Amino acid sequence: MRGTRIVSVLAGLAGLAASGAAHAIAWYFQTPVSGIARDIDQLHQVIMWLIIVIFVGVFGFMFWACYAHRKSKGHRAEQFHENTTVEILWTVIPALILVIIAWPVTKTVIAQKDTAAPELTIKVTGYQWKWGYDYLRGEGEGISFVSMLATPREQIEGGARKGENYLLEVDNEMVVPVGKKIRVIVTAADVIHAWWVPAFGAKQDAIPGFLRDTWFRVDRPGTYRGQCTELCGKEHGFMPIVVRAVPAEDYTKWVGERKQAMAAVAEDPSKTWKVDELVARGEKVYAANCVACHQASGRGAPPAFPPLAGSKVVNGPEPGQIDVVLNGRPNTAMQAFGKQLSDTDIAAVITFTRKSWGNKASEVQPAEVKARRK
Amino acid sequence: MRWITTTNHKDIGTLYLWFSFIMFSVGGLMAVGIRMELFSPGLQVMDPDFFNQLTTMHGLIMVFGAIMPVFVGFANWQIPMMIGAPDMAFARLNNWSFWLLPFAATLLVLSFFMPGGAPGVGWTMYAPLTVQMGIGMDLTIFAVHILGMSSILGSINIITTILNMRAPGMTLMKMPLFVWTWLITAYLLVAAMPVLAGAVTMTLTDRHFGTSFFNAAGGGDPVLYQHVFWFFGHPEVYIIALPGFGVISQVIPAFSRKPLFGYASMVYATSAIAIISFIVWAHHMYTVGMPVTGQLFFMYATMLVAVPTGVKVFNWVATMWKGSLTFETPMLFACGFLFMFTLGGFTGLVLSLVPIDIQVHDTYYVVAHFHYVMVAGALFAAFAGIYFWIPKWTGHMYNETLGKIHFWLTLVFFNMIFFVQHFLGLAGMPRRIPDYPLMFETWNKISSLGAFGMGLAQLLFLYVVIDCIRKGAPAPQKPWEGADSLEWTHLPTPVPYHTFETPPVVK
Amino acid sequence: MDGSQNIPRRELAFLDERGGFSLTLKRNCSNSPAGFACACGALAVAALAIGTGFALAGAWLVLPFAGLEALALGAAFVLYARHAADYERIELGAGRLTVEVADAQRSARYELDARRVQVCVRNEHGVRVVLRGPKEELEVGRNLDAEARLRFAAELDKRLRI
Repeated sequence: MRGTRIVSVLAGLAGLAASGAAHAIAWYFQTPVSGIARDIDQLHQVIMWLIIVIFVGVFGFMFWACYAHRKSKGHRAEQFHENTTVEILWTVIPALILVIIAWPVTKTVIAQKDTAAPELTIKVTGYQWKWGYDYLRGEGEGISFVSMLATPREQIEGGARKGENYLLEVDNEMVVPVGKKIRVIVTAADVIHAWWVPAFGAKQDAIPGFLRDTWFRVDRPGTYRGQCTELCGKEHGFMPIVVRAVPAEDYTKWVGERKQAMAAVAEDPSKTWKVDELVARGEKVYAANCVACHQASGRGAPPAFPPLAGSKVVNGPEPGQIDVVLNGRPNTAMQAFGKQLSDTDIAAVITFTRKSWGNKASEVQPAEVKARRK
Repeated sequence: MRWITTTNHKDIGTLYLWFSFIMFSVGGLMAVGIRMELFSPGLQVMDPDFFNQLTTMHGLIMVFGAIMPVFVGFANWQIPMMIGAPDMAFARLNNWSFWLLPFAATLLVLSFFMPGGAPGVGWTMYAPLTVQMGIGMDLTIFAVHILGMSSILGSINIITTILNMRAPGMTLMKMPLFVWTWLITAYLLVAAMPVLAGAVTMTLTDRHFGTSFFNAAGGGDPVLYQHVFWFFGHPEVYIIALPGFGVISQVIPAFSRKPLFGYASMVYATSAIAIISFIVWAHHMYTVGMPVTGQLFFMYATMLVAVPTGVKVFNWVATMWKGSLTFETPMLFACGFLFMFTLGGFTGLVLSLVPIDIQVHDTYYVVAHFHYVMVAGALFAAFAGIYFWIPKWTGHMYNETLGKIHFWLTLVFFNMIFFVQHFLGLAGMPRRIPDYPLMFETWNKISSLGAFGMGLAQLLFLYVVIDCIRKGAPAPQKPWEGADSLEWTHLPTPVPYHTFETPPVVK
Repeated sequence: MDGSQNIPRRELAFLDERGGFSLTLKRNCSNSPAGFACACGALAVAALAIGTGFALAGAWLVLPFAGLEALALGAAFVLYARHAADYERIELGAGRLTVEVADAQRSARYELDARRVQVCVRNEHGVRVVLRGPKEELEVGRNLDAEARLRFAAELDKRLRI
């Protein structure tokens, strides 16, 4: 899809461009679907042509000199070494060209920064290594979910055939309506990430403790994919961004479904679960949230990612482990899951770790987790 | 023992050159490791953590261990000879400046063997990711401190030498351009290095002593680190590039048999680049969310760099124009430099524009851009300089045919690695990822193959150098017809151990 | 005296004067101490200004390093400038050999009887040239390097024997 429309800007290399196939060679911007992305594309094309012209001009001189002014052709060196007129000209003319470029670019910069009057405001939070989406204002207010890489580990490690959207697929896509101005407030919970959707021309660093924003307006329904672009630790390459833009009525439908699902999932934290149920559920939570660092074997990758098998915390008193999972460990990749997971999920994953890999500690019920929340 | 205690500028220059070649090989091996992992999608060779460690160390080692020392090596050999001085101003300090480097390099390499391995934070060492790293991070911080100290001492020495020890008649505006570029580089180093030292120290205290310079939870700001780092980092780019400009400004006139065009404007342009380099740092940070006025200021300032840089390129081309050109290996590398450095400069102009930069920031487009500037710029200039001066240094000629083969192989493989990375970046491949979506596979394969070839080509370079030292034909005093600086006109080949016991008088 | 002291030089130019000679030996110095002070000072000021700027922005740990560097620059200046103005002037006239030595801001003047002075070359800690009179010993030619010192000693010896 991405390769279907390839704009050939770098002249002379057009022969290399293939199109049509699902994984044609991508070599230029993804098809822009927002005004800003189109502006960027156009600016880039203008600049590229300008550069090509100057480049050919300057190096035309160089190659002509290389060809015609060779000693082997008997060319005698002239001894001139300055010419004030020429030197002033080639200082002033480039400066003028720059001024001419600066004008349209400045307009785009200002437009890009104008996040005022959005119709929908979504907060995006970067975690190691997933994205959290909270719909703050506008239709769908209150929707909140975490979006994680959906590509199976077997594909990454070479055990299975890689799918079409390898590394660019998530479990929960961000869904937005087409044609509406959407403001994205970007922040992070641990280290700096960067949220980027190439087709929107929207990229914003996610800075822990600070809120920054950008905006986009998608003009065509579709699924748009990007990746985290700021090195954020071990799994930096594995936290994609997927945005599905849908027509307004479909968006309304999605909001309804999502709200229903959220209500259904809101479980009673006072319910007492059976150990087997907790372990079964906890295994799924573990696979989604914990396995990247602590590994499927529970052995981790010390010292950065400590083992859970035989761990003192995991085999110790329940409140100790609940606190670590709820609040995280400062200055490590262990994040505060209290904000991301429900009491039941936390109880389940803790129980799973306490019953696996030879650990033989007591189970934890959701009510205990609830009680430890501050 | 002679090599450990030597205070002779030529011995120390030689030490710098070999040191940087060793580090170039180490950093190059890391690059080959990175390209092996990126040969195909999926994780094959290493885990993501080790991949991050390699990208970090590749960057640090190449910048601080290879490219900076190679030009300090040139400075040590050439500056006293070119200005007619007997040695560097502070000879013993010169020895210390060098011997700090192997310690720093050892610390860097040692960090791989610490629990948790080397830091996997990128050579820019952005907070607060640095706080999550193991003890390897601390070793790296100490290494950076030592490297910085070495650079500062070296720079003070170079400034003192150039200002005070010129031969009678060698006025500032008669100095060879290589000397000029080093004078300006040394100024930049002295101004910028304390900032780096401060940045890594604050990282250290944030890690261990409970400060919160860059920790939002404690009232700090992670972006402040970036401001501090890039305030050093951007001048650093020119610290790497300027001595290379100097080398090229010696080589091109020599093989054009014609004086450098616009000598004075070259000096002014170099100074202008150096000054502007202190007001453009935030163009590395367009995506952190600066106010629009900030973005515009840094964009305009950055675009301005194109003017003096353009002047330099035009001057070099004008020097070749109507000369009497021959193309020995140094000239080939100089032409390669000119062509591809300009290409890197143009992508720099593209990146200076905020909207386009936001789109390609932290993608392979940036990787391609700065490798064009640093490899095709600084490294090609270094090769040009080595081939140019090696007859003077060793007293032997190198094998011209092999030198030319080395050039063409390096040129082809370099472009194979990095030209295609522009496409990867435009198409959306982020940098510093160990695995990538399938649509990026073709370019990555080409790039990796190029990297393996480029690595092998440098073995040929090593052979050429060793062959030159051991059995090259004796070199005449002035093997290059058009060369005109003091080391060619006033000194025999090979140069005596003590240069210019009596200063020459320059008319 | 002509302007020869103004041109820093190390080659030996014996300037004949009233039957004797005058010789000034200086280091080769292409910059005045004041000029070099400006160069170092400007750098130190720039580094400190940058450090102060960052301190105001909250990153005060740049400043101590800028301070250390200013000290290093100062040390470089002192080391260089202490000896920048060193000179030795050796004059022969009317049977008197006058030696004027300026070393690190101190200057001294010695008068010797030219007929009773011997020029000795010693080979301890490198080549040293010593003027030996009946009572005193005086090292000269310290601003020259080893090879030039030997030539200087030979030439001086020849002149004193005329």
